[in-house]
Amino acid sequence: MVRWQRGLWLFFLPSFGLLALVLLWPLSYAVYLSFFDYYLGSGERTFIGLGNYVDLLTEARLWNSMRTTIIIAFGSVAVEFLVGFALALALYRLHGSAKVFSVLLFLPHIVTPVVAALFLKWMLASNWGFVDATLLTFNIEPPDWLGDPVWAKVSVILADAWVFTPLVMMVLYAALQGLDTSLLEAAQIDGASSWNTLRHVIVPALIPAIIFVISIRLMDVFRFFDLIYVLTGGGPGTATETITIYTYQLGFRMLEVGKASALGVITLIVVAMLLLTINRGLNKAYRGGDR
Amino acid sequence: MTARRARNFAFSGLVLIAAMIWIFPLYWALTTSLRSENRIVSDAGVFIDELNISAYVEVLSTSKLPIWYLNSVATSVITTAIVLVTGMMCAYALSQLRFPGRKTLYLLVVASFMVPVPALYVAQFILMSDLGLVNTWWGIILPQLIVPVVVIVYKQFFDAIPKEMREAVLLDGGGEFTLLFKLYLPLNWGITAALAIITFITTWNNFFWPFLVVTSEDMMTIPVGITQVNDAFGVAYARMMALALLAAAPVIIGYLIFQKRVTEAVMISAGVKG
Repeated sequence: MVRWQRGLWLFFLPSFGLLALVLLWPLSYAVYLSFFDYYLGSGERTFIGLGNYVDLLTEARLWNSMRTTIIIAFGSVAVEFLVGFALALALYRLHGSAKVFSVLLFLPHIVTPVVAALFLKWMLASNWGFVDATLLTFNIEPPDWLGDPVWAKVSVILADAWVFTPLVMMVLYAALQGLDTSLLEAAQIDGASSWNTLRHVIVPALIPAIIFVISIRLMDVFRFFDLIYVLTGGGPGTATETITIYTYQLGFRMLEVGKASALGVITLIVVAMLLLTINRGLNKAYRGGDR
Repeated sequence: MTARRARNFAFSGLVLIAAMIWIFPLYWALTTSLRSENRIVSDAGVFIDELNISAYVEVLSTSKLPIWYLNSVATSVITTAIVLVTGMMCAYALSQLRFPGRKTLYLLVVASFMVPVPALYVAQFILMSDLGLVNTWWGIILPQLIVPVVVIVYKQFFDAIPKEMREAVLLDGGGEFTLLFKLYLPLNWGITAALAIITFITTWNNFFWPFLVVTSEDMMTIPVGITQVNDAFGVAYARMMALALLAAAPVIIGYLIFQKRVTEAVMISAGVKG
């Protein structure tokens, strides 16, 4: 039965009005602009069809930024997952007061990302930074953490891990608490070792949560800007330039609005494909869990 | 029993060490901010051995921190209020009212949750500049008003409220707005508080969009402001850390006071039902 309520539109108007204004309109405008050669402020737009897309896809810089995004995404997610899972297990097994320390562990995740980046920048500052100063007292010549192309990537990955491991830890810890304890007891009665219990009981039961937390972290990489911008600005050269940083450079530094819009559209397509893949994996995992 | 105690001890040690590593950069920033500038580059003791607040005094008197505080508080409070009210109304209609196209609208909300918004910042910036909102509070606020997770979470909680309760209000002659604000909202104060906290923190911490839409120093929010003076200070690390700590202070203090609520709120926004 279809029943129209009076005043229904009043409930939707504010949020969908906003959605249309600040999301749907910019979305269609970005698609439209992506077909034009347009420098911000020049006032002149030339229709060039797929020209921007061809430009982007044939130049090395886009592929470099894609590769950097993937390296940083997988590097940081790997660290976050391994450390986060270990800590979640430790918290789960703990009955004592050490849980209090999880309050401290979570703090870096709450702190303003820009501030977190400034803290880390000072930790990694050459010579006088804590890390370098410590290494130098042991007569170890420290690398150029933010100035060397490889170490800069490592630093960005560790910075990301510093901010997001606590989140991964808490999500997995919550999932562990929802675990059916009778399964664990059964494993214990069967005399399974801790390692086997972990591998055959705990991990399979956590697979939905694991895929979920890994996928939200992977999605975040396409929004993330603050840490990299403050730490390296995408440098040295383009060593830590992710797709988001490249879009910013194109749109707001080089003012190539048309090309930046095309890159935005490409990003949206990549993310949509990624989501579909993850979704398929998630469905498979749920079905696998039923067995 | 002893084996179990030993294991418990090992796990405690692991968590303790991790907590110390994780907290260290914050502690180190605090230590640095309390030292005089020339001591920082000469000797670096690990412990707080000096309580020199000159960096704080200097930062508060020379930078525009108070104005940035005002901008941050104003934009975060306004954003949070609007996000909650509009999200609540939208969720109520999606949850309780029946009409054709309901599912499509809900899918639209969920889909907008997936969009990596920075990909659209160029187009959003042109829109804001066409509306004359560059360098204004509303320019900062408007694009941050889309928080689909608020709608999704509210809808889940509204769905769980027994239908008998709404029938009673309807019999008393109450309309849909009465229902929302007299029944559904009061039953969900807990989740409202959690959503308010997480929306406020997210807006307060947001850097990328305010950084693009604000160029005038008087309109900057705190995260934008502190990255601008970063360059101006050069290697004045005590002042830099003092400024960074002052910028993050409200969030840190708020977290330490409402620790449980904040963690809960972050988890809810990460998609885990509370």
